[in-house]
Amino acid sequence: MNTQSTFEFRWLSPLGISVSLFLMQGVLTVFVAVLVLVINQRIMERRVDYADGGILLSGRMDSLFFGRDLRELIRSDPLLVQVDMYTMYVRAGLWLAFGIFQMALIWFGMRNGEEWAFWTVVLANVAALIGWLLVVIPFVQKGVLLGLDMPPIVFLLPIVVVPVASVLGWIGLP
Amino acid sequence: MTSQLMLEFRWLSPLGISVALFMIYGAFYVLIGALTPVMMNTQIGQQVTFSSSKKDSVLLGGPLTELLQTSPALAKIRRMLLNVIGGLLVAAGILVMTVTWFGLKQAQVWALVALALAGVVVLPFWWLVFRPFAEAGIAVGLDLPPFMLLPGILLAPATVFGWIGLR
Repeated sequence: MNTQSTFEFRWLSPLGISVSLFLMQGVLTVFVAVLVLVINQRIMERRVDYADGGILLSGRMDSLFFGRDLRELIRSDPLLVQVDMYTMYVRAGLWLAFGIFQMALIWFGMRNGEEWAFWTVVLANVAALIGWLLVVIPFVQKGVLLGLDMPPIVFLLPIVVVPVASVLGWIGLP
Repeated sequence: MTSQLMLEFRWLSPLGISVALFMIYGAFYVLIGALTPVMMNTQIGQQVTFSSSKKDSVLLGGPLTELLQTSPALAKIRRMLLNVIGGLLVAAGILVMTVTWFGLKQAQVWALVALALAGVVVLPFWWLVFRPFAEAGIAVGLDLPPFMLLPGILLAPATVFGWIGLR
């Protein structure tokens, strides 16, 4: 791999802003994963409150999707919460790994103008968002009005950050 | 970013073996992730969510296929959450493979650290997934999901070889 020895990174540049955005996203993703590790069990025990955050997107949207109040659904089928909790640990573990890789790629790769690092971060984010898209499509098909009450860090934030940071990174890369 | 050394990379070297193992690890993630949306709706896929069909049924209180039939909400939630996981696995696989190819293969220490760290930090989460089995007196053994089992087996040797190769 050639070192671009003449490349000078500046924070106040398109690439610099892209790096900042992706870095922030990586840090927050790690934070969310650690939060899950700490509080998920406690949330699961308080099943009524669980319905506010929802299982898929949000309590409101999930209720509309299933055609009944999520609290009622959870009361009638407690297994839903159990399955969600177990898969939440899998997701959180993967978010943590994702966040670590993203931060490493940004810091050691993108900051040095490495194109492969940039495209890796973009591609990985796109792959993760496709997973979310497969969740959202059935909601849309069912006529559920999507709102901003979606998982903020692992879904809403990438929807905003990834396109912006990708364009800026593409502009700013040598 | 400078290479620590002007190394001539050789596949038949500790570093080369490390790269090969991590590449398999990453490719496996991509494969499992990409197949998840397809496989989970097959007869085989509908028998398992966490461990084996038999162990899952003990934990969940019944065979998964029956539970999915009696609870459409459970079937939908399971399908959608597995789609999210599939996307994350593909993403993780891409990350592992490119960090390995462009970083570790170029003898970048940060790449090995990132690969090892990311592989280790997920372990507490996997333990939490299977803790209920242990609490219910169910020995999971090697009935782990493939995306946990194979990377779990590869991580230690890949890291050790990488460390030896980078010294």
